[in-house]
Amino acid sequence: MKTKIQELRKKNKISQEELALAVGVTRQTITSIECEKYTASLELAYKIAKYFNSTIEDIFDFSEVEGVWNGKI
Amino acid sequence: MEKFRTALQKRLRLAGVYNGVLIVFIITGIAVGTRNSVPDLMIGFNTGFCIGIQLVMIYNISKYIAALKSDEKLTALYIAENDERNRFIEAQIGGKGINVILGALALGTAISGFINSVVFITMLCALMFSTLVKVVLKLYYNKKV
Repeated sequence: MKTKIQELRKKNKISQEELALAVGVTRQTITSIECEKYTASLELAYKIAKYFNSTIEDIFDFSEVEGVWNGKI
Repeated sequence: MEKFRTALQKRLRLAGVYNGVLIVFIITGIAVGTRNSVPDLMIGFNTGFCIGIQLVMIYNISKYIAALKSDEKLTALYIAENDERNRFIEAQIGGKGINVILGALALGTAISGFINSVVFITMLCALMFSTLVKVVLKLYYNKKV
């Protein structure tokens, strides 16, 4: 799943390590989410969104899921 | 975090009890092996296996003690143990299930060493293969996820 985490991190000058510590995961998990290798759980997505004072929909791209709902995929 | 701190203290106490039992087990193993003329390979495996577990225990004990002394290390250990990606990988490779199988095989191998050499070697091969499968799957998922 595509995310804006890397973009937001760079904008706010936050390292992966800092974000990982703030949301209670390892740095590798943040790397995997940014590389679209791993999809964050609802709980982690909520924590990340809250950390950036944003919403889950603003950070995570749900267009693929919407495609499934609309019968496109 | 207090819950985790208590859990670590409990683990340390368990490790202490386990160390005591292990020392008795090693001494008994050597004594029984000498008296009943058990082949060297089996005594060697049992002793080596116990020493290996002991080393892992010493490593873990030192990690837990360090974590209990420093809040920073305690948080890092908590995150490492509860990280959702790590849990996902463990679930993919059959985590707890494969650990139970490995534990049972290791115990079976250690005990069979005093009874029958064919059973011992068969169980040792099964143990090595299962361990290899776990390691390969873990490396694969660590790269994939």
